[in-house]
Amino acid sequence: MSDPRRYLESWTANAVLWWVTTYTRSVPKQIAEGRREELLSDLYEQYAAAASSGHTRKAASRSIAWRALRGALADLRWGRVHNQRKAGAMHTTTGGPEKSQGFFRGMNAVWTIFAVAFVVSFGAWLLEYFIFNGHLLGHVVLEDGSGYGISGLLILGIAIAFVIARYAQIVAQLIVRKRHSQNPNLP
Amino acid sequence: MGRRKQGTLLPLEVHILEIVEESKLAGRQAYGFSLANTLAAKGGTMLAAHGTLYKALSRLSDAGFLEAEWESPEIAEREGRPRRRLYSITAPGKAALQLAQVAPVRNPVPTQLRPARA
Repeated sequence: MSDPRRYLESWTANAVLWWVTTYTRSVPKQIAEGRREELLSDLYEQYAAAASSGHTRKAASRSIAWRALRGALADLRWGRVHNQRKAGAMHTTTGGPEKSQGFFRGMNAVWTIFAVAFVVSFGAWLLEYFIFNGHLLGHVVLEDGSGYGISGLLILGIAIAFVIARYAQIVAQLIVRKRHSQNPNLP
Repeated sequence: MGRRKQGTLLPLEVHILEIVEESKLAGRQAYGFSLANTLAAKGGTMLAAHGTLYKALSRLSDAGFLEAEWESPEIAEREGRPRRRLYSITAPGKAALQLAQVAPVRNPVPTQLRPARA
């Protein structure tokens, strides 16, 4: 293994950092940035330690992916605690209605479901290709003979649903803002 | 896994406090990956999961048992790596550790583990 900084651009490192961005989406910005920077340091140190002890990049990436996967639930719980603190602080300072907190909780539940679905399908994908050599969930074969792995299709489906939900949320927020600008007394 | 009783230290948290204190005595820095590595070496297990480790560190810092400080960017830049978040044990952390070491780690010890900040 050469310079470990190069491996921070690896697919595994990017997936872990994407996961950090996902579960810190609703926590205060400063805390989210701190967690991301801490994870970046951890990834670098693990690649550097692997390089100095003669392990391959692939072995280090596998260990990193496994560490991320095992800690995913704890990540979600940590994110939820910080999000609740933030919501509590917002409620105290603005006296905001319970209704808006309910909305935030609802949206967080949607993102949490997506995150869990992604982690489960990613785990299935890892099992499929690293342990079962593509024979765990099977393939969908089209008429022209081309085949697509079920686990890959699952991840693709979740990603598409995530993008649709995200756009729906943005559109909903724009509509609510427009209504509020027209009539600030609306709940 | 059931919800833990409020105000208790988990075995992982006790081990983290021990390692941070040992690192200080040995003049070494304690940061995320170094803690994961030492935990694995001591316990003969695999590296602690990211979520489990950083959640425990966050909880110990919130409780005022650990103090977290970012390394100077100049040092990190000079060594060509991302900067580390360095942890040191506080006086309440030492007291909680001593209390936990008296009782077996398997039975969580009641301690004042509540957020230090208002």
